[in-house]
Amino acid sequence: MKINCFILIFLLKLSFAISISGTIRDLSTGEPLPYTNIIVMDTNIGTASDINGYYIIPSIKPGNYQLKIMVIGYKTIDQKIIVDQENLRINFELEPQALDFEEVKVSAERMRFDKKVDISRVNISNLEIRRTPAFIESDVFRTLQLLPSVTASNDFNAALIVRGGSPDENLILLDGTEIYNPYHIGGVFSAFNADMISDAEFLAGGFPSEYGGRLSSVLNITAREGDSKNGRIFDLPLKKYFDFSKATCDISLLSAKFLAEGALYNGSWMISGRRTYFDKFVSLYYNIIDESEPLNYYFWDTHIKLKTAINDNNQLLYSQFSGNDDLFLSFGGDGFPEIGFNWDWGNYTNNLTWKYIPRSNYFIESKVSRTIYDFLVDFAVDFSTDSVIIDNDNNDADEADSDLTFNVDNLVKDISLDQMMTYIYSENLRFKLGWQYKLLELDYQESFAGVDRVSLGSEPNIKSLFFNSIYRPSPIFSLNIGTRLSKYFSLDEILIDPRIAIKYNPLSDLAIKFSWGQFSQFLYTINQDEELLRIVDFWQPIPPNGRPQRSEHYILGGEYWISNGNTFSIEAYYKNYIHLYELNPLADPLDIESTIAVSGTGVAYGIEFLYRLNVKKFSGWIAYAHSNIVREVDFNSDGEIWDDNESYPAKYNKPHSFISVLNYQLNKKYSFGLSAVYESGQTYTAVLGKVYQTSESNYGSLEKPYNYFGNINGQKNGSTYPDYARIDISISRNSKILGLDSKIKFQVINILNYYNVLFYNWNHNSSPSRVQAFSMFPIIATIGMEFEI
Amino acid sequence: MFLRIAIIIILSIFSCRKELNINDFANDFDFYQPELRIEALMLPTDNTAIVRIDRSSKLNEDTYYNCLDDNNDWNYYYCNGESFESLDDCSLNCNVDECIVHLYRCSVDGSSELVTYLDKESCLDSCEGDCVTDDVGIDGVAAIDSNNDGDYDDLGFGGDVAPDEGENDGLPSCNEPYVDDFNELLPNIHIRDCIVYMINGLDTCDFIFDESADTFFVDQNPPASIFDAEVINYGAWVPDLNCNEQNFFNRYGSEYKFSCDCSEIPEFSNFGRITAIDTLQHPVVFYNNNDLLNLQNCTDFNDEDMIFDCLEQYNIDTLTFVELTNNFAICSITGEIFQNNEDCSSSCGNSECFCFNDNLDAIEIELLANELEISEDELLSPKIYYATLVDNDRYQAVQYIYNNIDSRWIYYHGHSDVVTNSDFVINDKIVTWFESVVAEQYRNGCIVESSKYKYEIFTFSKNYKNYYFNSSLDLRDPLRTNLRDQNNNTIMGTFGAMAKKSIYFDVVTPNSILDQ
Repeated sequence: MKINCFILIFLLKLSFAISISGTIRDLSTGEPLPYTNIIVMDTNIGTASDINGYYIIPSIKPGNYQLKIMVIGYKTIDQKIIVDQENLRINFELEPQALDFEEVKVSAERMRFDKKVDISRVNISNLEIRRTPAFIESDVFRTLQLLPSVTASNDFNAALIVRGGSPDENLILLDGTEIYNPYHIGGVFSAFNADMISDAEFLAGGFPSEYGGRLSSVLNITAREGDSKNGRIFDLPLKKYFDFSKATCDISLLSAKFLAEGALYNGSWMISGRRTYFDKFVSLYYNIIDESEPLNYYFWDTHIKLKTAINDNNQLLYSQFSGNDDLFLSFGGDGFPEIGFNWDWGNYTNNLTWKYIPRSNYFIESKVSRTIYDFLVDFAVDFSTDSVIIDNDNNDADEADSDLTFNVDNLVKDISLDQMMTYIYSENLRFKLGWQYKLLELDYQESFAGVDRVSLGSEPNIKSLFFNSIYRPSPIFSLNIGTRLSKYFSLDEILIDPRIAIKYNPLSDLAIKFSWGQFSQFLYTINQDEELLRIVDFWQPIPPNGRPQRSEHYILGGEYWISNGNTFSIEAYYKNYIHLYELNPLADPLDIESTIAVSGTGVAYGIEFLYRLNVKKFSGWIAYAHSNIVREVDFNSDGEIWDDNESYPAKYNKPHSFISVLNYQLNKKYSFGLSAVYESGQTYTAVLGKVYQTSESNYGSLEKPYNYFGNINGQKNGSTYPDYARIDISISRNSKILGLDSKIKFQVINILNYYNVLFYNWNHNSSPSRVQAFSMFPIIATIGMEFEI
Repeated sequence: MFLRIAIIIILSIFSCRKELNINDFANDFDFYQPELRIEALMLPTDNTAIVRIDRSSKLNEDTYYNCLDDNNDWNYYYCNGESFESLDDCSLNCNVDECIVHLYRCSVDGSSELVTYLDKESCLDSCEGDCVTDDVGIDGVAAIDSNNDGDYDDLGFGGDVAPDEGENDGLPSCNEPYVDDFNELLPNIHIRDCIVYMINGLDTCDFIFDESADTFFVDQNPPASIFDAEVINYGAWVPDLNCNEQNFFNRYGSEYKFSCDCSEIPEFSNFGRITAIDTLQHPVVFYNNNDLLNLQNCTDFNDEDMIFDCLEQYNIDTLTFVELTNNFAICSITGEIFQNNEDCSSSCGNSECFCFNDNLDAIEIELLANELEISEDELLSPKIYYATLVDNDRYQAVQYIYNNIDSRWIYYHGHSDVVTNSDFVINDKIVTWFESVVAEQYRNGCIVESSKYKYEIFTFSKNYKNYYFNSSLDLRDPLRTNLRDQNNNTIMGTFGAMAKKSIYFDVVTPNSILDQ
């Protein structure tokens, strides 16, 4: 009876609650302003806009109020409103102004500090990404790797390793669509053009239940929507439907980029693109000398975002991303067998989002998205010595005319339907409820000489339902409780992943947070953790009779707000894993699907210190992280853990890591950036001795029992490379060139030219044995230019 | 492979490398003590066995590679008008004092005659082929003046190779051919002072060390014709002759125990007696594909030996395959076409004959298939079929080519093979598999040098299979090796068996069939 009464009161309140809602935008461009503070003066009521600039103030009583809307970098708005018996829709547009921390007491960061219960969360803006020194181009992954919770395995590998999790444990979303292989050039760069990023929200652990399907972290990238305010080509009435506002171009040593934006009917459009151009010079060179190209490579990516409001209550958003890498090699001919190699891989995503935003205290977001990741290798050899098998125009290895072919094709198709309702019951209680249906198609084909050697294909589906509520029973205590239920098509059971986050503010400037959660993952990559470069990801579903990968996070942290934007935080975490999949060295060729992987367990724990500073012209952070990551995998499937090689420190275990990122805005013209990293070297398996061995194809046989001195290895990952150190600097200068606003950026990578070891290579064909070290990036200077049309 | 290509490209662009002092790694390897690596291999179809017992080494050992020609086979020796590959060969014919080093050899295509010269100039004066030497310097590659312009500065693909350190100095250098080669290195790693035996039932077979227990082929350095492959002898433990007389090594299904005790050698005394156990597996049975249904009937039996005996009824040991090209020669003087080069040479002169081949047309293929009473598919995709008991789903295939000149089989190529499709497993009792054959006569230009081949297919006992096919596991992994020392610690290597079966085949020309 009491429960029924409660529900009745709840529904009555839901029906009669009066709310104020709307969108906050930049007056000059029309782009949404996330994390803007909306305060009802002389009350305790206030809220902040979400990542799309949308806000709801629920349960407000009728009366006269004054709203204050403020965010860092914009003039504050004070507006009087009258609330009667109807829900209000009020949109605001804020006028940009020069940064002035003194004027705006509560910055976006402060709002996050006050409102967000999530632990281990960092938001990185476009400006922060672009200010941070990086190799040739700004890169969101490289910026994230400067956070204490994230590390990279080496300079050539942009894959994110978050608190001991392997790169496939990170959920990477672009405008809500999952990206399966977010790298270019074998992992040297991420697939995301920094110019088009509006905000990158990164959750290093304990993420809420609206995110699922991954064990470690979430990177949610929101692309810019585009400037809808400064159309300059068309006049009314056409202007109302489409116009062009501006374009920026950026030329670096690596690529040429552009970003154009403008107005669309009740909305905006944005298109960005990037392409490397080194291949064009290579082609030109070989054209001049009248020879066919032996090797070439390029990558490109584009992103399109369209937004339109059908009416006050309904918005449509379309987001499309394409990115592709293409490498080809051709050699031989002229009397030698001709070899052609073509390698093509990329992501293609489409996403249509419908936002239903009624004049009430809830809104619903419905989304359909499709992502395709395709990886294709064609390798062909023609032993006849006078034919041509490579067509340089389309870079295809012509298999029909070839004597020997080798092909690998890995395809991931993901069609997702998502719906989420956000309901704000009161200032202190809000809910998120949603579901997701994910239909996947995963294929892996390997053929040699026209015969299929490996053929794996599956079409799993995952149904998920999640619930999340943020409850603030008192101003100093907040609770985020949620659960994600998942049903994987081949499992009878429903997996329940409960999650809880608690925030306690004993002082207004001190937040103590705790988070616990369970996480499940149904796909994994069969990449080996020893790989030096994350060339591509080979995605597989969990084996037919396998259990889903599971992890459990315990995170305890504290954050102290020192002053405007200056915070100090400590977080300690403990993660344990079960059913982690690694490539099975003993896979049964007769049942490759079930035996391709072997499962193991893992533990990662550590502590992180982060000081974010924001002192006048200085901004950035200084961090230290200590971590320990251990894995246990029964590689030989004998049911026992053999100490030396089956219980081992993870490849990316780096116990100590010091990081500093500093940006200094000298004046409107000049800004300087510095990033410095000093950390423990990565683990490696030491060589202890040598023994005469033969090649893998005739081990111990009579054919050739002796071939070369091979390694006798020590404990797997039992040794560490020398400590890693790298300091990068950047200098930017704003100026006008040919009347255009432009920026020149000069960067130096590894300015101390510190020799960071990538790997050792032993040569036992001498007495004593010899060893060579291969390094990561030496000192490299790059320059780039950006200009605005 | 594609990953390696990409890694090499990226590393070559961005990475720097430098040589390090191995003493910097002393913390890693200083405590390491040399171990034993044992490959105890029974060969049931040959009723014999071989046990290779070798030592591992520390990284800072300084004995193996001394950059000297310890066995005097670097370059050539000459006395009394005759040339020899090594001083040992020379000394069989002359006094050692009379044997002088010749630095160059005249290499003429198709000729295996050893004609050597004291130096390059005298070789160039007399040789109608290439002058080759082992004195190529520490890069192991002879200098090349690609365009004969007298210098070595035309670099790039297919360009010059400049002489390097140690080249043409008349002295052996590190990495030069026949310096620190197998013949010099292997004796240093073999272990000779152990007690080795195997037990089967009540019988015991003792092993003795033989400095020339077995051989293997390696390519000549510098590379020459495959028929000139160098044969390397190596030392290993072989069974006492009595064991062979007892048919000790072909008792299928019974358990064999291996024992090895090297405690007399101080550095290996801590291992004590090393033991292992394994059981023999049957070899393959080669069959004619027409007998596949008959093979399936063998699965009516339940006993493995009976199934195998049943399979053996269909065993074949020779095959014939047909080339799918017509080979012919044209006399450049008269334009006359000959069916083979020999006819052309005798009529027109060898240097005026040009050889061609032409794919068979559809009618010829149909005619051939009818003549041979096989399907066109079998003709176009020639295969050697074999069957085994179901446990044997992994094989080693080794192909040999027959050298007509000195009547011996030469190693051609080898590879492991795995049954990758369950369709080839019949009633969970037998498995059938095949080896695809390249049906081509071996030609040197136009001349057919061989048309006879042999395949050896090996099956593996359980433990040898673990050792052989689980090569990504550590050498001391308890699954990979079944050898245990007195403290039950693993020892690198394994004890097991490889059962061999051979099949011979000829490759004939289509005309030899159609003309009949």
